Amino acid sequence: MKILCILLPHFALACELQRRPGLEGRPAVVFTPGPGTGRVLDFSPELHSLEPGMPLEQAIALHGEAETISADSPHYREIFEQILDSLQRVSPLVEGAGAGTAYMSTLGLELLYPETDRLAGAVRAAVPAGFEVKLGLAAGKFPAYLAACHSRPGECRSTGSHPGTFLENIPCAELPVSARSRAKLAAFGIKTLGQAAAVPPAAMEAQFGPEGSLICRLAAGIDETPLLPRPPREIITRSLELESATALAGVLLTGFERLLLAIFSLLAPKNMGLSRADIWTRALSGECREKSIFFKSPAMEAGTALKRISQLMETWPQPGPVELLGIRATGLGRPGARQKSLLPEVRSADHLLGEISQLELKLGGPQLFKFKEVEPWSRIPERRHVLTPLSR
Amino acid sequence: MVPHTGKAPCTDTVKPVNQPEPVAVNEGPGPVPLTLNRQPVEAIRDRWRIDDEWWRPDPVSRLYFAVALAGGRCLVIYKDLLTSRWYRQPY
Repeated sequence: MKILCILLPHFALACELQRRPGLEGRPAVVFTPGPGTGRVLDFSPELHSLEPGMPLEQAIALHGEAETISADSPHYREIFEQILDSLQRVSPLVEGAGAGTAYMSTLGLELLYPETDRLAGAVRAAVPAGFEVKLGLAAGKFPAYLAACHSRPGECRSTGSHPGTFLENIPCAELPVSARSRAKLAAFGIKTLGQAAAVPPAAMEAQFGPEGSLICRLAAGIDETPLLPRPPREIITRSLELESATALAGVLLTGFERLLLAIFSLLAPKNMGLSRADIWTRALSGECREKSIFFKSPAMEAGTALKRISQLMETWPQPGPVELLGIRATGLGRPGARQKSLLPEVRSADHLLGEISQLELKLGGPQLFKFKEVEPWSRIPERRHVLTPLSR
Repeated sequence: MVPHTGKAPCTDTVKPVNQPEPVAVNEGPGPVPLTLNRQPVEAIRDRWRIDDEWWRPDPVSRLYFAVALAGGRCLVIYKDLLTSRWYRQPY
């Protein structure tokens, strides 16, 4: 079985170019905001001196003419998920390895695509226009990734039957090992993967510990990391044609409620909820409106989802009487789990004392007392016990 | 969340229990209680005396009675032998 690496270089920038066609041909830097001015996430290919992760200040100092764009990671993630959905139509065994990198198992695909070029064509067709695609085919993820990195856009490069030969001139800086090990390799004068593969594994392990054997295997083009296929995204779509077109919010909400009940009747047996839904309406004039709603934790009941739609409808004017409405459940999820306390009794006692203390502070004095023995041996009854505040 | 005032816990927040309550008693010779809050005492079930803390400025000297009232209700009362006042007290 071979693995096909699908690399979408400058993915974040390509996503931004889709949204802002005006950026085409102009140098741009996409940065992730953070402490200080942020870090470079992606940049135009012509800005050779930049590197991902570099401070934005440094990037601006080098290329002051470049336009800076704050990264919209959820948008990039969503676009990438859509691309993975498309790729899963070519092969169900697809793993997303960060935005812009995916791995596909070719298991069984040789019957559908006897030639590599036909498979590469199918993959390229699955990726929307506007994204550059580089493909690499090898027996493992790492050699496939390197093959993709060193292929030309649109090309599918294979490591062949001897991946070691393909990798021998690739610099050791490409190895997915710690920076310390990379620096140590450079200090030993081992600059290419071919040189690293020539070192006996025992000698490598003696110098680099467990990473030594990893370096040896990767340099020889052996990567046994399994492919972890992503579960296919399930999308449920329901629509409702109204008997007579209406602009009344109440009627539209009733329609959405019916659709939600239909969707939740499918989700309930699986103990799944709704984490994202796209709702749309089509007016009598033919104009369509669409909105997406997201749930922080999946909505497990139709009522919860309907409440959100009801809030949305207040600020979502319709162009006219609506004749068709629909919901597309694009994100399904399971209810969130809660970690149980290791010391539940201690925790609950602490929590109770905290609440009692708050009550005392609010009401200005102790409110709850406990019975305490003072002189249980005393012959005088009022000396035997007292009531002390519970929080003391 | 209410911020803590930082004040130290007060000793006056400790509450006594079983404090004696004054009652009106008609007493006979002995002394023995005849009525308690105008209710006749049916029977005296027990009686005992406590003399304690005689070394303190306020010594204790009480004569206790376990009495049954007309309705069948049972109570513990005592006479403070130093002030000659009657009190009711859960024992």
